[in-house]
Amino acid sequence: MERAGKRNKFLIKGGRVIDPSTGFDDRADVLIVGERIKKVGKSITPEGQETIIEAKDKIVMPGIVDTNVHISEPTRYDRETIGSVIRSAVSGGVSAFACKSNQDVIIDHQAIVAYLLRSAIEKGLAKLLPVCAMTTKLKGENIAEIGQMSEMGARACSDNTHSIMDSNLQRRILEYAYAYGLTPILYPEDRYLASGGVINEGYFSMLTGLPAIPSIAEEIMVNRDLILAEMTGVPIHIAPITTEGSVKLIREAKDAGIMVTCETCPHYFLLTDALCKDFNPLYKVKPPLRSERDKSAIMRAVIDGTIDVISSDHNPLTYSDKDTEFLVAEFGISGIETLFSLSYTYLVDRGSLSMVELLRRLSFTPSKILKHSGGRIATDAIADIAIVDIRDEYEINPVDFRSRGRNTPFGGYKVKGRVEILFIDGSIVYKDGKITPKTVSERLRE
Amino acid sequence: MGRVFFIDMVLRSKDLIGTQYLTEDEIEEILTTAQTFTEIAKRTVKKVPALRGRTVVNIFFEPSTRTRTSFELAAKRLSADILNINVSSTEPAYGETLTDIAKTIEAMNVDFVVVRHPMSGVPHLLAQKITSSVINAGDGKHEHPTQALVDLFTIRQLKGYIEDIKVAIVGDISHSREAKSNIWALTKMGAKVNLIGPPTLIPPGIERLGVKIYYDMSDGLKDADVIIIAPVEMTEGHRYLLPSLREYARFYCLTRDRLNNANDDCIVLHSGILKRGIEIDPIIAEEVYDDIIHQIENGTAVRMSVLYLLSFMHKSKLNNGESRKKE
Repeated sequence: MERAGKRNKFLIKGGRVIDPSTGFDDRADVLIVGERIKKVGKSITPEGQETIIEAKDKIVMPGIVDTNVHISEPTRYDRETIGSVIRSAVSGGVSAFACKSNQDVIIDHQAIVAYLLRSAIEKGLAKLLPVCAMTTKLKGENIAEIGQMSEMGARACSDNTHSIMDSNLQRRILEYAYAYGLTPILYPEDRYLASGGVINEGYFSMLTGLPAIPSIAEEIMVNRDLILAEMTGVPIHIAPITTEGSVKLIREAKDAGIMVTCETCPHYFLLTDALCKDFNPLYKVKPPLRSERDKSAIMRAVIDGTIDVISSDHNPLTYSDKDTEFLVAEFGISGIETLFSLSYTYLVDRGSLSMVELLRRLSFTPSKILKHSGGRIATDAIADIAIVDIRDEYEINPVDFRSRGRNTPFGGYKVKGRVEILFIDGSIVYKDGKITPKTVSERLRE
Repeated sequence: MGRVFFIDMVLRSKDLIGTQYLTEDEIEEILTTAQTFTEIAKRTVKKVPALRGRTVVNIFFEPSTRTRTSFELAAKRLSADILNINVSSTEPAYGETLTDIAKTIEAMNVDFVVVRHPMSGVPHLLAQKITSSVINAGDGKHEHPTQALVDLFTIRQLKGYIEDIKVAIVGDISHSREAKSNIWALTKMGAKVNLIGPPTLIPPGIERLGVKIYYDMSDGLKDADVIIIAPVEMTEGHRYLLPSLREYARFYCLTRDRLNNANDDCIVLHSGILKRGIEIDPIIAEEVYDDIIHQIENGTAVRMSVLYLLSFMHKSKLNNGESRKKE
């Protein structure tokens, strides 16, 4: 106990504590000592050295774990850097996030995994969980050095939106990655069916004359990947799913005992392809926004648990990437800062989902998929805790984003669920809109 | 010209982006005004001073002869100054972003921008960025509104009415912006529209516009009063859609036999380069060539009407701006 004096001690009093791992949802106090939670219980008496944080009427929950984030360091610093994405993450209550490859950064070598991890640790805020590539240069030709990347700290493997059309290769990757404990994250898109498309096929693709991606481009691949998962016995994670047909396939697969999890993003249960009719490139995402029918099917699947995870698919882009012709504009939405508030507002605040279930989708299940220790508020769990005010309504303003990408179609949306305090590893990294980073030397001193 | 005072109430937008954004009244107004401009072409002095001092810029990112000359002639007959800019755009590698192009145009203080672009939605974006009137002269597979208005005008001229008329559109509907603009405009004006073509060339979702789809040409042409031929081309993307033009012609070429299913006084319209032997039997083409000539003649009158009506939108905007300054 002598050494405990040097360590952080916090007592969060009177908050509504939610632990998605056990389903606990009640008023309780949380005592944090050092990096971990020491105790959760009714009226813990302070011992005198704790900093007391009053959390009456607030929600005390595990930090969000986002399974789908992209950065552009070290090639396109103007889009997003590791520093900016981490600052952006903590503003949105995200304590850990999976960093995937994209067109700017391909994580297909252990040195890149090491670079990402080291850069993130230096920043000392949210935890970056690298997701390595499945094939070298995402080309879908040769298996990448998955084993070595796993050794270096990769948590899952994914070729991002470059789905592997070669079913033989995909099968072998599933089998191979299993040995190193990496969850394969599969993007469901038949690249021939989706070829050149920028908008969902249907009435609005006809209206705008833009090249279309039919929903079967996704469903055919979901089906193939499910068959591969069944055959190999390897658990897979499909990300993201956006159509009614995919939901049906996954529901049936789960009933049949196939080990599959899947995710979607807030824009797929909040927006539809009708919004693309004015050619606003902010609505250009991949997979494309789908029909009204798909939108409600995705919403229902999130509620009934067919969809296990909600991620942001954070794709930060510059102003000029989006200020152009719809056909030329880049795909993507900058979403890490709005992930929690949008999900909370449209699922929990509207009464369709309980807080515990929401945090299963946003924190507990993502942690399991990424082999991360988050998603729990219990004795001895890592103290990655968010304190959230759910009463105040505020307006999303992209200008306030800490991310370099302000490409969101949700500007002006009224939401609830502002993150007030975020603890990571037992210290406050974000409080009342300000980031309080620890320097490397401070961390080493502990 | 006493109608001036209510004319500027009729159009609601400063731009003409597509017939899908026009109301029945607006289409009616454009067609009626075009009627008054047809006789100008028959005079010795083919010029009126309606747009004197105004500037029209034609920006074409895609090659065009008919549409561009038609707009140029329309502007000249209204005494406007006209500038032609041709930007070759095999790729978006023409270097300049759309925003920069828009800013350049805005700085030149032009009144009308007539734009054609291979990508859908470009006139739409341009219209949001500049205060000049933007007229869509064809964008990607989206719309080509003035061509549709020309077709409607020709139908009314030759048939006398549009409501309840039976129109059959044959060809590559998916890739034809003229066809889409026509479908919007015709259905709004109460015409009955049949679409004819192979299933791969008919875009999904189009049935929601209230049209009927026929894969058999003879069925689709039954009792038609008007046949509009949408051009068919074999491009790179067509390898998924069509085996060959020869096979297309076998099933969708307008032949005597097929034409016999239509009404006796049926007219045939075509807005591009006639592909004889593929889209239309050469003999039929000669027979119906008069209709197509009418169509080209009317092109200038309809485009004059569009420029003229939009100019009032422009003027009233300017006046508002000035009166606000005075306050």
